[in-house]
Amino acid sequence: MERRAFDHLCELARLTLGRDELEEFERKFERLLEFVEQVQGYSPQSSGPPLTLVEKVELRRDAPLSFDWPEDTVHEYRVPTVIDFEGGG
Amino acid sequence: MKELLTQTAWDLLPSIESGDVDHIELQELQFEFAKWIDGKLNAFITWDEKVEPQEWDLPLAHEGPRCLHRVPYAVKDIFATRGLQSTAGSRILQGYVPPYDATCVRLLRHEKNHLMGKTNLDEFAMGSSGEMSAFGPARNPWSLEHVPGGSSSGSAVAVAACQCFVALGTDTGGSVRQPASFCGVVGYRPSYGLISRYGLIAYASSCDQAGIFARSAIDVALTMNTIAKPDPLDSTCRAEPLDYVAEAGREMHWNKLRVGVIKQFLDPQAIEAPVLANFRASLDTLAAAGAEIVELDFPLADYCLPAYYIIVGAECSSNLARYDGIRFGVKGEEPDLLARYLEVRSRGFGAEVKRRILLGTYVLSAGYYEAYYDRARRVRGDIRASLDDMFRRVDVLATPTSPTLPFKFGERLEDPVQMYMSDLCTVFVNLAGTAGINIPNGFGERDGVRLPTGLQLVCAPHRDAVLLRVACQFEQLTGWRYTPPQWVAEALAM
Repeated sequence: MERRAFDHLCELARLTLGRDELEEFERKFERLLEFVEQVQGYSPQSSGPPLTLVEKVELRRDAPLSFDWPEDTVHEYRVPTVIDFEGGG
Repeated sequence: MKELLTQTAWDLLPSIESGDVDHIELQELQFEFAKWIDGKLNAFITWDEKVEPQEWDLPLAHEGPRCLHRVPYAVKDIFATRGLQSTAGSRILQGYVPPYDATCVRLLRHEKNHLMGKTNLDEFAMGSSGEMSAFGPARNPWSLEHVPGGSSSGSAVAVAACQCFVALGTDTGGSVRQPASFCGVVGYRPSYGLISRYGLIAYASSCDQAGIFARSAIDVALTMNTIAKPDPLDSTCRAEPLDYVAEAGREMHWNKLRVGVIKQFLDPQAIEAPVLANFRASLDTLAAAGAEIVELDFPLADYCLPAYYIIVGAECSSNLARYDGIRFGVKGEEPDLLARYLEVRSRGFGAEVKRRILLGTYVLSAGYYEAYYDRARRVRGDIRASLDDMFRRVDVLATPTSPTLPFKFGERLEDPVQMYMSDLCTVFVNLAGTAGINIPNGFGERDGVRLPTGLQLVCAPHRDAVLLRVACQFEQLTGWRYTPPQWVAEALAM
């Protein structure tokens, strides 16, 4: 891989590599690419696991709901936090 | 009382439940020994120093299946623990203290089990030797010059060196089973979705799964009864109420068991001689008990590792994008937002993590997506179909867990691909979303040292009860009982 392409890849990944580590990185990265390249030697039959949800999800009607709030309810948070859910805090 | 620390949780539980063994005393003894011996092993990153509340001493009115109760345990430092630093073995998360517990940690606490601390690991669970930890490597108790395996290195070491009775790890490509094999303990990866992943710091979400280290298969079943519960906080959690202990104890009809052996994993070029010899001896044991051994062809075996590294690279490049120096862990000093992002990530991530992020970014980039990621995804589909076909012909698969004995520190650091080959026999399980377990099956000699080997058993997805039954009864068949390394036993006797 050319240095310019490698620099672009680092930019996409939001990583910067120091001069001291760059050479070793390029060498080992080339080795990795050679290794994963092996998948090209196989022609898959399947279309692979789906990347989107296959089950039809029934969503509730998008309409405002009203609730009876007990007297002592703290109204600042309508959705309980994760910590509330776990019973801690 | 120190001799109790070498027992299995199953053997110890009756004494704890009857009150013959004081669980607080046991916890203190365990904590003291674990800390003392860790000077040699580096299995722990953070100790849980806090004292349990007094009500923990009240008797428990426990109903339902038997589970792990008031037993000292440890968790890999990739699980969120409320009020206790969780680093994922990375500098980038040093000092990060989660405000909540991972579901499985919460369930273990609920049963009043005693957390010893957070165990060492390869950074973000990316590694097969334990050497990628930002906190220095854990050491194999069978030989301090050899790696303990990875990525759940510290959990495997902690169970093997009697620093706790059970430990949690995570297994994305073999990270529980391979270190279990290297350290001579039982290591189990359940089917995908059987244990909630809520609170588990994500690496590759489609392969990540919490797993269990123990000193016997029945201890694994006890732990499953404790933590394999439905969880509304993880939409992929598919746990259903099941008594794994009862299932594991059900009568075994060996003559009805068909064990598949994948011929590609018997290649002497890939599998070291002592590992292969012990594997064949295990097959002989199964056959002598009456099991039918069926040889199977798995031509996709050569493509599992490349497809796996493409998929996990892609997923990790996305999952690790959240480490920006603002929300978690170490903070940068650059005033500009992008400059701070770059500064923190470049300083905080180690070399292997950077390599996998770069690989993932590459295989997902325009122009390469179809050639790499899409193709790997389709290879994964074929691997699943191939395993479905195999499980129509056999009940379980048997393979060596690791192709090699534990190797020396530094031996595989120069060539990342050589390191990846450690997962040769394990990654197909993760790609198929199924379950596998390592059972110690003997020792072999390397570099003049006696080191453990392991047998891997694999079942069809969500047939984990069958897997645990075969594992438990295989242990009984061989008469295997965990005994710690000589120097650990001597340290306990002091």
